[in-house]
Amino acid sequence: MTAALRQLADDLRAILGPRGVLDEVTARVPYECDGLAFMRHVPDLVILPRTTRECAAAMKLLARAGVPVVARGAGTGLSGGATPVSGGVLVGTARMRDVLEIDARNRFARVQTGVVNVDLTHACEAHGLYYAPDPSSQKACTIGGNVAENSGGPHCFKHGTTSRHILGLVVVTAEGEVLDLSRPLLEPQGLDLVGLFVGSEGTFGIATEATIALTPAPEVVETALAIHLDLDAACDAVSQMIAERVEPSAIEILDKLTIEAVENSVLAAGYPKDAEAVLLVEAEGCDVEVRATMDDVERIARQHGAVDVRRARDAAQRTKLWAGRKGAYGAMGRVAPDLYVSDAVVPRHRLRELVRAVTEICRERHLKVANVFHAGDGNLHPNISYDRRNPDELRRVLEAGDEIMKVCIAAGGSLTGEHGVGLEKLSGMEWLFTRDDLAAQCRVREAWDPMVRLNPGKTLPLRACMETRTKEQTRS
Amino acid sequence: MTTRDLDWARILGQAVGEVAWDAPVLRPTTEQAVADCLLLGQQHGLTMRAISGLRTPRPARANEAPVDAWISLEALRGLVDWHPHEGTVTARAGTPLAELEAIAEPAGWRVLPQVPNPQHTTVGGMISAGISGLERLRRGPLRHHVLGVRLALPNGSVVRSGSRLVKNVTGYDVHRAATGARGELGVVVEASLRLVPLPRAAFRLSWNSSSWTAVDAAAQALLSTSVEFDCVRSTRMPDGWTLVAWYSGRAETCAVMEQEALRAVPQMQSSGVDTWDGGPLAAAWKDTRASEAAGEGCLELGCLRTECATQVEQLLKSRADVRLVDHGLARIVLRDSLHPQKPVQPHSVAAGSVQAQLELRLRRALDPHGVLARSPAS
Ligand SMILES: Cc1cc2nc3c(=O)[nH]c(=O)nc-3n(C[C@H](O)[C@H](O)[C@H](O)COP(=O)(O)OP(=O)(O)OC[C@H]3O[C@@H](n4cnc5c(N)ncnc54)[C@H](O)[C@@H]3O)c2cc1C
Repeated sequence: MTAALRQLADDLRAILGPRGVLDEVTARVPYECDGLAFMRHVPDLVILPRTTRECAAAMKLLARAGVPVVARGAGTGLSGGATPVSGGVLVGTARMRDVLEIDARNRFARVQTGVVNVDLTHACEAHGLYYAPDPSSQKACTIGGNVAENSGGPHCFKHGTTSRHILGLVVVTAEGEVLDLSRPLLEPQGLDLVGLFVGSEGTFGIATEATIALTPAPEVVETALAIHLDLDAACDAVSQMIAERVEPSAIEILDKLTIEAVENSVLAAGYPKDAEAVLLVEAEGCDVEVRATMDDVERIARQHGAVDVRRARDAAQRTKLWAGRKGAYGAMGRVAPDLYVSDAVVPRHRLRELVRAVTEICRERHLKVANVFHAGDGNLHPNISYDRRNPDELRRVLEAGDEIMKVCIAAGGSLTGEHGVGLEKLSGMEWLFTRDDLAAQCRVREAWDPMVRLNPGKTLPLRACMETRTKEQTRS
Repeated sequence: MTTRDLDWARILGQAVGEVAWDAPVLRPTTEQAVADCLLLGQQHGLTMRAISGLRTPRPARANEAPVDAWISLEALRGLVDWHPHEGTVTARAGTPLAELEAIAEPAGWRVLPQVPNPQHTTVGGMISAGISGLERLRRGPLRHHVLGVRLALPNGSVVRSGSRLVKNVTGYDVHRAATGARGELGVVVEASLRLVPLPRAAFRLSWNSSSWTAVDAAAQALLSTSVEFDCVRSTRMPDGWTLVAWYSGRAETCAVMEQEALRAVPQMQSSGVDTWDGGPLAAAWKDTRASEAAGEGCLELGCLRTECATQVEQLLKSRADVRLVDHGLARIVLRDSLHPQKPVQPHSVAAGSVQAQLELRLRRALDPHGVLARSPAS
């Protein structure tokens, strides 16, 4: 550690206290990567502020020192958003875990952003309320990470992704100023800065507090598991549900490899192993609404060849039906040491064709792919099992990742539906957006962070921005 | 140099339309031509503002800086992408919402927002003004339904933010910031919207009372049921108030919801549950939509439910021009307001605050020379 860094650590310790600064290498190593495990870098320092004020004071110091900063929640991100950058300080929210206020009458909560997603629901369920966005990682991921990635989850089909639920934020800017947008307003005052911040992947500032809309718990919930002998048919069933404007709350698909992985693990959910795909659908509301919706779902699933449709309202049975979906990632961990979770979006009327294309891309490269995805939103997750110690396999995985992005873009789709661009999808940005698009986004980023010190080298390909800048200067 | 001296026809290859309020009305026919107009504005130090072109530009008011040229989006009209099985639609900015409704409704989709006057509200205008519709209570504000936009910028480029997909997190959500930004971040030339299913059936509850307190109490009672109303609206009548509440959905669900609502507020009269398609309720819904007439201004108190009830009451006492109140949203429509589109917001961003500085930087990021004229209400 250099003398300058040692001095910085001491100055930060004066603000954050001894527990707020981790400088020993053994304490820093656990922060070397997020869920994109093949990209790693041990941060120079890790700081863990307790409050907005501490965070702002620390950020002022880091701004003066001109040090790059990476925000981190729980590190469950899958695109490298929380991967430390060279010479940078990692700002973690692990000590900002307070639920500050629950206003049950007006259905909102204010929390520090280190609060874990599911803990917010636990904190408000006694009032008959819950936090609707439910990423599969919800037992670990933080509200700050959800805000930064605009995370989704199975029930976002009905309730929308994180951005629909964030009413306000407190943000510490790159310069250490506090931007307080925390009032729970129905309409933004001035520009919708909260809406713009959500999904900015840690490049606009550190969110320290969030004001969040809570959703009333539904009267009745019913889950259905439709068993298909053909993945194409399951996809077609989903496309038809959309076309018929059926409104359940979640529409998920798990394919054969996922079912096998789940059923061969301790998480076995009783899915039939001979199924090529299962469709997991849930509806919520009043009794008649739920029954009618699920009747439509069952009818459409059967029209598309479902051999069995299991329906459950009882909480224990529903949990069992969901167990396979919730445990899918854990179960796939048994198939190979590493899992590359790809994330792309496609138009919903083209599900069958694109799920096929994606599966084919992986097969051609002799990769094991399991599909478990938010079918109702057209959000594909081809999960490729691999071993990162095998360089050739890793190369094929990354190549498949690129090809998947390309076919989805060609079909009118997009690079990412919920995991973000991070480090992983930088190259894809140039396939999806024009230079002018990227230049405009670079300028928006610089309005928030003029020195581009927050998560540098991520989310936007800087090379593209710089080239455009030069072109523009010549033009004017 | 003034705008008059510019040979627009030569430069843009297009004729200048009429002159309104001392400024020429430009009528670009492509999105690139809009950006070219703005670039010329930037090169010549002019200010410009986009208008739908459906009406003559409005007179400059005392607090409004005059513009050097208007950019009419009237020629940028029509669908760009529509797939009846996808639940989304993409259209050029000058397209009136009525045109989208005419295409989407027969296919079973509803276009949001359900504005009072879809013939005269264009896609670009509604996004720039950030107008939410009658269904705001149930379906949320407009910004939740804008999936992406294309923006013409004063540097001569046309850029996109978002996509045509229902879910997407690629790139920053500049389209969220552009929704309600009054064109200050760029001219919206195209937008993609999420559609929602057209109701299969509906019912409407109504009740007249001379007492605001009684009407408000009834509205609050409706809002505290589990019924997810599309809207709960009170309109001032010569002799008091009319309270109207709408619910739509499947016929069987409507029947259950109707019972629950009437249990909470038995004095309300129900239309009875009827199918939507071709039924009289669709026409009655149009009437409720139109109860907020074009040219009226609205005031959004913006606070959440409980605090706003008192604020609404205070406002009713202090102003005679309150014409209707959307309960649960603290949205109030004023008669003869000077601000026909932009919600008059009681809390403004404090000058010099971190927020104000950031907003300024964002505007400068996309419009460094201030071509896009700032609107009076912002
Ligand atoms: C098994 C598994 C399942 C998953 N399922 C889903 C799913 O269903 N849906 C989904 O959307 N995602 C899913 N994810 C991805 C991931 O959980 C989400 O992206 C989550 O929101 C990340 O939260 P985190 O707290 O772990 O953030 P991190 O991984 O620590 O950080 C993610 C990004 O947010 C930034 N960030 C973190 N906190 C802040 C803050 N306070 N202010 C500013 N920026 C901040 C970081 O810099 C980084 O760019 C899954 C991941 C795993 C491992």
